[in-house]
Amino acid sequence: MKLQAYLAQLPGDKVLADTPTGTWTASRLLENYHAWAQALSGRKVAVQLADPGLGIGVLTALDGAAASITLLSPALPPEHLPKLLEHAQCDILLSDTTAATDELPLSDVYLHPDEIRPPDTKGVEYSSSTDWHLATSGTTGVPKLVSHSLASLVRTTKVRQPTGQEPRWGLLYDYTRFAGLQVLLQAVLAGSRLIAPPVDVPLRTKIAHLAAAGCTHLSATPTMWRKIAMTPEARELPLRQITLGGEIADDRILNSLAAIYPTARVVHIYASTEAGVGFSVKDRQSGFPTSYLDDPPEGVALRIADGRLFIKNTAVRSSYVGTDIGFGTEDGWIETGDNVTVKGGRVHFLGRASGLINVGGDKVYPEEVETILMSHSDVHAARVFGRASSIMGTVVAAEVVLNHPPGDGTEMRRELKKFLGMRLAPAKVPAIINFVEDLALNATGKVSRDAS
Amino acid sequence: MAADLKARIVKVFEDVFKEHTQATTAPSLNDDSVLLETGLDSLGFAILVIRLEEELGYDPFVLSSEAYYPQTFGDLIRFYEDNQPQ
Repeated sequence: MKLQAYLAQLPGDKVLADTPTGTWTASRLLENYHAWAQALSGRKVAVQLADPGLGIGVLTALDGAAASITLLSPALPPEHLPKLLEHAQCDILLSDTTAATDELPLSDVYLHPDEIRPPDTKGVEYSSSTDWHLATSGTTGVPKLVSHSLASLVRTTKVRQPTGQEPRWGLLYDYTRFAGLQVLLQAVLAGSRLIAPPVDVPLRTKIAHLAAAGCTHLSATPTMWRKIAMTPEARELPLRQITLGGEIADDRILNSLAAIYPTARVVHIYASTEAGVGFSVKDRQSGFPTSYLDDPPEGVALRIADGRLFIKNTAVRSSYVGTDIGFGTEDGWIETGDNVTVKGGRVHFLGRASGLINVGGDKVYPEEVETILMSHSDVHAARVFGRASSIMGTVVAAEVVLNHPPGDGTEMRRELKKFLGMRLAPAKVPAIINFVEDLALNATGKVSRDAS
Repeated sequence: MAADLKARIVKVFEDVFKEHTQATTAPSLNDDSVLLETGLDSLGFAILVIRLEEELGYDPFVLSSEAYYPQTFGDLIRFYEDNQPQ
């Protein structure tokens, strides 16, 4: 079933989304359906639209009509755009955020979907299956694209809601990324309401907005949930379902949410752009039961080998779009890169195997940060690693050997953070910088990456 | 003792604030200041908690069995006082 069919079965005045641009009913969302679907039938379309309401309308028109949809974040650095368009072989860009259009490898650029006019010919054949290309969250260089189908994206989505009060889904994520798209599609498929607060306001304002709009279902990373728990407005959210994803959920935040929202279901999910949704855990405890290894609840096979978690790929292809870089073995298993241990009938997460640091859902490669640190004239050597944080899960930490004595360290720390802040995304700048006389090396003579 | 602990927390807060936001002065805090409105983001707050652990030798967010997140600066001070290792 394509997206349009879900919307078409709803009453026209049914509200599907409240967004910064207003209220989106089923009939408003389908208003331009035929014009857009016909104009873009068979095309490879890149979509970079900030407003989730407009996004739903455009995605609904494209699904089942376009050859492919490449979803791009409004926050995508402009210099990455040409490469992504090339990888996905896009021929049209729908963007309300991109200004530099002359140099893009495209035949058509529309700065707003309203500019799209249907072709004169009638009865255009819509292609039957549309590839959905989603960007990974890698923070080094150009994001990679993973190919999904609508079916693989909504595999675990519940189409029917339990009886009782209709759910209202809060959207705190970027809807163009895997986690946010899950929330958006969940609302469309179930015909329930999506509430998207303004993007550029403080978290307290967003939470107050969601509370006033009666948000009952909310999904966020554990780091975001800890921050939400610290807002006075959190107590006003009438939540019935709480979802955590993107990072390891520890017992403390699970217990805290259960205490603030005693009647809500608290669910943590394991998902990635590459693997899709792996499983969800509903018993309010961290980790997951070992029974999932034999009998996976969402039907996605899991296994542990060499202390690592492997998961069966549910994406359409197991290589990144437009590249020959694979992310799974030939029989479809993906090495998640997560170290796990089995204890007391439960599988627990220990952190990342590669030294890759997950900061509130953003992935940071220590080598990149080390390279920048070493380019500072006062730095002799540097080691970057993840440090456990009770607030953020993990933060980036650095040990730095200077060319001169650090003094009390305060001024030098400020200087290095300023230097790094001008060259790296905020998540990559080491939160903790300590000055040492020498770096620990491991058995192979490389800088040790063990988290400390 | 309590006044001393508060003074040490204020000092670490000021250091972290200036280092993390590149501001020259830190805001003055009272017990009713909402932590999320001090200008320190969640990464800044995570840094504050790690630096306080280095300074004071304990992290109440790890030690406390209570599933609690403080909202105001006063809540934070009390949380550190109540969870001091004996």
